Amino acid sequence: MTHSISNKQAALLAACGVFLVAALLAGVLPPYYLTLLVTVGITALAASGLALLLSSGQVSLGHAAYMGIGAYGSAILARDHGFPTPVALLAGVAAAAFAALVVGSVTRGLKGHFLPLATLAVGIATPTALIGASSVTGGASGFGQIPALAIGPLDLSSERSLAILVWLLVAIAAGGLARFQSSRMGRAVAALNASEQMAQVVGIDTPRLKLSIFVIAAALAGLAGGLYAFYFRFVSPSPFSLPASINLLIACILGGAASPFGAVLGAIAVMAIEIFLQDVLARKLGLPGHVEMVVFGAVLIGVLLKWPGGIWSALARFWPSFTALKPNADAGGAELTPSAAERHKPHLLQLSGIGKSFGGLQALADVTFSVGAREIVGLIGPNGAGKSTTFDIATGLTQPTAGQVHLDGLALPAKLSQLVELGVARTFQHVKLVPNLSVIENVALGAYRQGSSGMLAGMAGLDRDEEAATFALAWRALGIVELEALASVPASLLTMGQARLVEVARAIVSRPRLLLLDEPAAGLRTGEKLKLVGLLHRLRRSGTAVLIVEHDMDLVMNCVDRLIVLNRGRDLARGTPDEVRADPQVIAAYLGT
Amino acid sequence: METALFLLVDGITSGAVYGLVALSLIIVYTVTRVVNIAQGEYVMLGALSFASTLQGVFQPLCMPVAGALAAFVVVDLLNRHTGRAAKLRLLATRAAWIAGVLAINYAAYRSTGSYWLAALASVATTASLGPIVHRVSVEPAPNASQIVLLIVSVGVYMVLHGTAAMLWGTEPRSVPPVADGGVAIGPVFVTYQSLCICLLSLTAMVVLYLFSERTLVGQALQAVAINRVGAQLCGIPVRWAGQLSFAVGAAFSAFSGLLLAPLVTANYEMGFVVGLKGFVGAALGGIVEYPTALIGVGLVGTIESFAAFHASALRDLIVYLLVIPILLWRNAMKPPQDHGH
Repeated sequence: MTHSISNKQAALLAACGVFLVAALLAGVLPPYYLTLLVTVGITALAASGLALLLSSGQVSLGHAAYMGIGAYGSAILARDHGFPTPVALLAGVAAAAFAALVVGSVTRGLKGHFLPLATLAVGIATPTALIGASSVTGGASGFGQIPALAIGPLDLSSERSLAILVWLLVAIAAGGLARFQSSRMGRAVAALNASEQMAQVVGIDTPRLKLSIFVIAAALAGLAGGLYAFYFRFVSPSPFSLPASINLLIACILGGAASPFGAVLGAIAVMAIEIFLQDVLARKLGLPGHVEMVVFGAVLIGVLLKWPGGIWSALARFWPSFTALKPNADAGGAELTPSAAERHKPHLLQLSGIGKSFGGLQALADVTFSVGAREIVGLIGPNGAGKSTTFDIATGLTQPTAGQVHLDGLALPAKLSQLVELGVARTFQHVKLVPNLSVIENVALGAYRQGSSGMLAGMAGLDRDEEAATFALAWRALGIVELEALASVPASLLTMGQARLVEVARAIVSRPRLLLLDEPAAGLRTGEKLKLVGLLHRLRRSGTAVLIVEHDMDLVMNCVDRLIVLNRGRDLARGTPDEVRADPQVIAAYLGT
Repeated sequence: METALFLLVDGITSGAVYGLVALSLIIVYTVTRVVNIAQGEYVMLGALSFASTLQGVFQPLCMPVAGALAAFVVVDLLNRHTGRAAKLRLLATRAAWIAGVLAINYAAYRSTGSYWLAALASVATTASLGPIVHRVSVEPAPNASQIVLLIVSVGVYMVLHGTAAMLWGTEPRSVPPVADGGVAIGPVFVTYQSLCICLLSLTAMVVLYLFSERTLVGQALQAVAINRVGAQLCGIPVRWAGQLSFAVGAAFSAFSGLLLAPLVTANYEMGFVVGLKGFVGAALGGIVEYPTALIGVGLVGTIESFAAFHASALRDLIVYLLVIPILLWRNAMKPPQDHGH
């Protein structure tokens, strides 16, 4: 074991620290500051969910709406329908989650900036609806007389005990989400943020993951809203309106969305700045309220321009980075080769009569070839020959306008994310790694489909055995590409050649029967190229078939069994490297006639 | 039927105002990638400057803007990496700029009640604020992510909003319309102000279109919008393009503020809502294209006007809930595409 603590232990320690400090403050603070403490906790709870959402590459400009649904849901059920208060609180959380499920399902297809706009619309429409439905909600002035929260025999009617409960939940949420970042699903979220296409290729069902993250973020906001209702025993629409949503975003970004603890820091910072400004500007200097607003805005601009990653980014260097220890050589029993039964199916991949036109441009016409087991097939051709399009069609990224692609005689699965289960892995011409994850975590992404741990297991740390098995595989794959020394380095620091080899390792981890490599040698040094050739031969021996698109003729000629030459979207020639080299048509296409 | 026509005219009028704001948002967004929450504040600043100039006051925004411009001249002159000739050129252009802003405001102040001079002064002053804001809030962190820039623009919103409240106070100021009365077009009575708003908005949009398509500077802005690195390699200074887009955006928003002020009175809180409606309209239109943004804002204005007549309490609810089906429809027809970076 190491002497320094891991980042998961740090998350646990930080969560305990946050809770202890807050509990201590809850015991001693005067009532006015106690209310501020609770307000900060409620903001932090909702903002930590929002940070999770941002880390998945999504944004909600109306997140306070889900707080509102949680608050009104809990309050109405507890006050008007006699629900026991804890049941009402949970029902409020469920209502917020359900609302997010509906909104998320309806808007899931929206692209680009349409999605944030839809969330903005929800954020404005919800408080407006709360005002409009005045017979149930009391309209713009809201309603009071919400009963006190009592969990079984535990009476939480005192403000101090409720403050402790709020911060307990903040600590659990922030600590859990911080641990989650270094789990199977946490890596999946990071992959989703880096490249949705890559995430699908490693087997992540991205639409579903996005929706789950959105629902979790809304549930946390709903919980924050429910606690708000039970603390203040009064609700009105204004704390859940658009300015409140923007406030949540400010807390998130000011604190730093890279970590849930950043969101907690942000909530504290926003409140601290406000108190400080009120105290100094308003009380001591007697300036009007607008000055506070101006100064707050200026502080926000200044801090974010100095640290675009928020306050957290200034503290992150004290936070331990992810470390994965290399297991003992004889510890892992997992193999990286495809199983014996799968190895011997002939005609793994069959493309027949493939055509593709983009508008009037015929990019491909009548391309037919197959890749059999234990075979290395090269796909070559001059620039613009249609190699990449063929490649994308073979892996389901692009739909052909004519012809069919078969895998073991069956059509490709409807979802791209299912392809990896059928034993197909690929790399990308433009390398797609998750820049902020370490090399070993990037490789471990390839084993996504072999694991099953869900989000809760990741938060609670119930995934140790599976993680150990996953990382044993990842280490082995990293060993095959001889980059073990870089395991803990963030992927953003790799050279192009190293990054390509890490992508190959990520593909190998999924134990593919068929590996598709898109220009794997581009940007590689000579030594790295030799390594790649050796690797390809090794893979073939272990039963993996390879389809490779490559410009480096030396490399291609040295390792492939067969070549397919494309020119202007058509099949020009095929055969062994020697046959192709001697083909006058190929020479003409490459050198011009 | 007549009511419907009346509401339609009303909707188109508001739509024309939102349209100017939408165009400001679009030009700022495409060139700088900033989703500018503060855009509506330029509407408010334009309207308030206009109102106070018309009332015969030397409008209070002029001196802070001139001061900030002068401060940047000093900063730039102290920059050791700039050559002497460049410094002289810089001094001359900036001095002319500052003098121009001061002169037009003074002229408007001296000839009290001159409608067009006051309009020119307030648009020029507010437009000059745009590059200052860009310089302070966008340039220092060129690699900041879009969401960070959005939150920074919230900070800018706070600064501008609070400053306006300090400069002008919180009392609303009424602004007289261009001309009283109106004209009957068929069965509907259209006020001159409505006509004027629609005509001037259209003119402004045509000018912007011609500027973008027919001038070298406009083409340079488009180049930056499509590919920042590529534009930089072609010798287009990206900082300058960003400042210019902020200036054009501020000018268009201020202009919409002048047009809107007679309808709603100028007050320091008017900006945010107009900015939001412009944002919705722009985004419905796809945020990167001008003509569809106009259809977007036309829709927002008309839906709002009809909804207000039939159910005023639920006006915003209807406008914003309709946003979602329209987004879904537009997404299905032509999904937004990310421009290359």
